[in-house]
Amino acid sequence: MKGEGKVVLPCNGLDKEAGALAREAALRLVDGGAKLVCPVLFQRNPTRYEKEIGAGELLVIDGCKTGCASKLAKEKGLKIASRLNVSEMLKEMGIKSGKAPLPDPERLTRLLAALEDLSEGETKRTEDAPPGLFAADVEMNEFTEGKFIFRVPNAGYFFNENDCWARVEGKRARLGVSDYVQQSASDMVFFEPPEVGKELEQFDDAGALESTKTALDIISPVSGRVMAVNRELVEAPELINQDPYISGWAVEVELADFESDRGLLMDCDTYLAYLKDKVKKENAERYG
Amino acid sequence: MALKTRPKYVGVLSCSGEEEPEGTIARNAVRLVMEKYHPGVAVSLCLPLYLAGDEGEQDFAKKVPVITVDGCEKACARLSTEKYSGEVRDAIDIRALLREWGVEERLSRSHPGELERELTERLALEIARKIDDMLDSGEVEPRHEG
Amino acid sequence: MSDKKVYVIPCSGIGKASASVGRDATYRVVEDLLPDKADTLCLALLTLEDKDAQDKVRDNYVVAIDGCAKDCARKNVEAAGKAPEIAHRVQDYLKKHKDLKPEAVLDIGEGGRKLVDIMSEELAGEIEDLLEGGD
Repeated sequence: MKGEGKVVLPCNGLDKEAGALAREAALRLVDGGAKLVCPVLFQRNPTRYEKEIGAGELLVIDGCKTGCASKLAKEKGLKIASRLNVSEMLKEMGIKSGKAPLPDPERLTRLLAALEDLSEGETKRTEDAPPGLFAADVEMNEFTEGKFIFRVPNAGYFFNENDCWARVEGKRARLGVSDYVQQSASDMVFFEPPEVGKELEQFDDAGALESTKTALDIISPVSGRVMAVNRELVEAPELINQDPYISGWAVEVELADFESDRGLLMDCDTYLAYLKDKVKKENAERYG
Repeated sequence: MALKTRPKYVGVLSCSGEEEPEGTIARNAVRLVMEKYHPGVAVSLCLPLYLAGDEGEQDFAKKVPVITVDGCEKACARLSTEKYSGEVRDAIDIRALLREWGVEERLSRSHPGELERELTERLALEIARKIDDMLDSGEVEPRHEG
Repeated sequence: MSDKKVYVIPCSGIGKASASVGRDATYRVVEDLLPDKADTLCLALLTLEDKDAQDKVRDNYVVAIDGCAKDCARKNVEAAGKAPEIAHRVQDYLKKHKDLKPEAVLDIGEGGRKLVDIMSEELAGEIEDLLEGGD
């Protein structure tokens, strides 16, 4: 199984078959070139795997819903590129994992075959931003309407009238939707990213979102080429609700002509004023 | 002399009441007040969010008059408000109301029928009247003035 | 088979239709599908340190059902000193059944009711497994 460029962190479930299957899957990936992170050693000595983790994309393999490997990765502040859950995969295949702790050979074969198909169908590697970009903390301004608090960054972001933002640093920008959007649309359940490599004009669709209430497109505030998409957001669209301006970023682009684009955008202060007015008008229309 | 700003909203906090049918009636009545009788004035507070420490919910409850609606004598909504935000403007005890109304039938928490719907509507009107009083007395700023 | 009971605790958030789905799915499980094995209890009682509620949670299994990513049910159960054995969000089911969005808080609509059917069946299966010592 292809493992080149991957760093794999499996769970260590000893009391269920799913844990043993997760371990086997990880070992096959190591055969295929992946680097392995032992969860027990990593918990005791996080610096032991610094070099490996820095050199590849982290794949976390959980055996069951408890998600110990994912929790460990989050606890240690690791960036998870992709995640597998053995119990869920088997369930989707219509197979129930066993209670005994040793892997059933037939279930193992079927799981590995499914994983092989997955790794072959993987989308091409995205081009990540140079290190250090988009890493700075962002301060927020906020205003309250009723019991709702609306937040807008105080610098570095540019907004269009569709309430989508571009965080610009150098020749790159990250794109997303504002706090107002996530509050209005409610819980996000689906994110379909654009293809890496796609050329976007200003105001083109840069991905699709679906929430429990509505479907909406991310309208790109800028023109540029898609260099990366937020794969964590594909797995967990609710990141937009939790942190719309930072971990809820959707797409990263290499800017084509920001100087031209910015003429049609609002900076943070302008957007804050615009949003206050918009929310007041909406309330007045809704309630009279 | 400083002008005191009147609140524009009334917070209504229902118990979550999963165990008891009065809990279901409480929640549904609060939604009815918010959606039908006083939209834009009555704001429902989400008890689980409130208890989980959400700053939006707790701060809001400190700034506006709060009506609590409890389904049983454990009074979770009232006690939570007193614990986290201070004073309760008005506390409704549904079981006491049902006794007053002479309701003796067994109610359903999961399959509300005609009786549960009637009681929900009646409770909603009861809450709405309390908000009417606050608006009429000027305690809460009406949505249209002058 | 475990002697323990399972307490299914929904968030019962009043602001979202998905919370209504979680609550309805809870009732379906504890009243219709597994009435002898599962029950529910009021989330607020845990936070207000009601002894009876705390004892039930401590001595039995807990399933937390949240209506959104704020995870109030899971967090409030954890704050009472115990991590739920199973924790789900309604959104996780919605992601797999996008056509079954609930319509409104007071009336979740046809799609919402179908989602309740699916969710409650899956939950009942997980609870059976939990009681048997499986996944």
